[in-house]
Amino acid sequence: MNKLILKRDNIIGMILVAMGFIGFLNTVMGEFSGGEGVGAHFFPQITFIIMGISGGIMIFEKSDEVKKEFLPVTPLPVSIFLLTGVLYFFMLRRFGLTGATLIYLIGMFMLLTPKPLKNFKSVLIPTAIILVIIHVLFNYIVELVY
Amino acid sequence: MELLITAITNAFSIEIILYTCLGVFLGVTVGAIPGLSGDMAIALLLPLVYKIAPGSSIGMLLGIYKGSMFGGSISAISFGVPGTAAAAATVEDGYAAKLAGHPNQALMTALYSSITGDVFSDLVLIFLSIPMASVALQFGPVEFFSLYVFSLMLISILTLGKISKGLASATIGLFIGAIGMDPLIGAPRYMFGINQLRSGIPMVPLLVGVFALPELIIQFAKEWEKIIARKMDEAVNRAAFLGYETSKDKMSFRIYLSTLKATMIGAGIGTFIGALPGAGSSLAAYISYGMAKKVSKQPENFGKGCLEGVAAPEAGNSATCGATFIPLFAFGIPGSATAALFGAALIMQGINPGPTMIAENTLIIYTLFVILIYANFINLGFGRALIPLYAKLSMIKSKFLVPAVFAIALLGTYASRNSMIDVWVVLIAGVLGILMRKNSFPPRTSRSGLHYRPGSGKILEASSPSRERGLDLSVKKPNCDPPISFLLGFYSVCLFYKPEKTYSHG
Repeated sequence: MNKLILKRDNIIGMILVAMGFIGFLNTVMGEFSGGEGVGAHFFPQITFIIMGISGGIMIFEKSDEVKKEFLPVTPLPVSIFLLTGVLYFFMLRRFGLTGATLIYLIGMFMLLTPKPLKNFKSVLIPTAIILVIIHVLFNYIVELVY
Repeated sequence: MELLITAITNAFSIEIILYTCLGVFLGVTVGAIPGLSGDMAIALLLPLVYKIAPGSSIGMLLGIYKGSMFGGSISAISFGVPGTAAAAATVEDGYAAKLAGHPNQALMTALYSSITGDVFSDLVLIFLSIPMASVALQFGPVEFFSLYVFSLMLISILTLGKISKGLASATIGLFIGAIGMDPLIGAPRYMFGINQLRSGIPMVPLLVGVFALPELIIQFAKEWEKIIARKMDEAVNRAAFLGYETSKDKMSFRIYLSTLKATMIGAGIGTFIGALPGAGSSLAAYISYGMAKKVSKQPENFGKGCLEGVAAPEAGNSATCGATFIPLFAFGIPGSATAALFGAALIMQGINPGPTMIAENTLIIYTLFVILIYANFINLGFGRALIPLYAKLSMIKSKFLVPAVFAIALLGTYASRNSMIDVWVVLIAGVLGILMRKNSFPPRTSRSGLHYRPGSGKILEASSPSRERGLDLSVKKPNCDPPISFLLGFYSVCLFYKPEKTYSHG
């Protein structure tokens, strides 16, 4: 039993049960407008019941192994990836579409090039091509306002 | 008849043809590049749908869908790397055929079989959706709700992996869909004091986040791992074509005829599976491959570069294209991720998928049918002319692709409403999507749950027992003599009885 609980899927199952339980309690005790028929709480109530049941099943099921292709997906690269997106949008307001995209693309290409190959010149051509595509698409076709 | 002529005239307008061509080009391109898919391209372009006329946007999206189905086979045959999950079955014989010195025959067989399967499926859609929609018009709220439950159960069962995860995934989608104002009485739900959530979580950024971002994150993480490990990119093996003789690799009509049986098996199976909610194109491709092998006179040649082994899965996956729209058009139920995205695009154009859609938007639907057919021939033309270029495109490195697609995804989402909230939704949905994928939760089911929510919730609340009305379970519905809701409910329960999992590919 201990072995089961320690596995990843079993923990997720417990989280789902907890979410289903809290959600269900909220639909019973929370402030939901009644109105005509069964009220606004009825649909989420059913959803939370099924969520709890499926989570309950997962607690006692054999846990799936993480597939090989997902092994590199750790919190660090995911955080860096998302952070670059946020930074890009902050730069967009400060430097405009072309400036922000230029900095973002060069930064990302350099970041993703291994050290022996890290070379400013090698990323210039792909940067220029993508920059032109984004510039035309969002300045002239979509007419982005930022 | 007059309407049909107007629809044909509309469909053949220069603007729509150009957008369809653009869609096919984009579709084949993203299909050919491993890591990108037609679904991702449709999700990325959803924000732009607002800016384009309905006919043109439909043409472009259909072009992407059709193009990507064939595009996946290009890298599968050329490099043994399926461009899309649906093309995984094609690798088996397609790559073997290439190594045996017949890359052209394999690619052309994939193209012709794709087109044949697709046309067959489109014709089934055209001739079946209108009568089915008229049947659906007889349905009351209870029948519709039962149908929603049944198809959601079917998706949970047919989607790869555990049923419990399929169900949990569906409830996550249903919960996200429940955020915002209740559709029937307009009461707020789970808005956490954020007024912008009154109309629910915005659909476009959510779809972009759940569809496109996880794949980009995976690619980024792989590149990141290489940096950490200080690995150099492996040189691409370009020596595979040594000793290649073009004269022995010419495609002919005779070769096409020799693969026709396998193609038609794929077309039939793909159309049937495509119409089932949740089954998907990769399942269709594998079953078609298996069936073609079973009925082949030389099954021992399968896996060794046999062209029938290319034709069957390619016809199978492409034949899901038209059929996947049958439940969407007839019942308003998106049976696949692509249908769900397409449904969102239609809603953005003011067309609500469902039984009344064809009656209310006859002209645009007829136009769509015409585009469906001729987009296949555009696909054929592009495929024939550009296969060598597409094969090169599939070699673009992830380190250039990922940042570019991510930037376009963020900008496109922001552009749809000029709202920073949408950008945050994309990023959060991306985290949710990658967590689900990493833990083997099928995101497809949650997406379906999300799409089912507005319709099914409203219908459930409309059909459920109330203080004034008694329990009404459709037995006395005016137009549905048999208690359809009971039957569907019974089948939904039966689905959980020893469900066989015979399919294990991604």
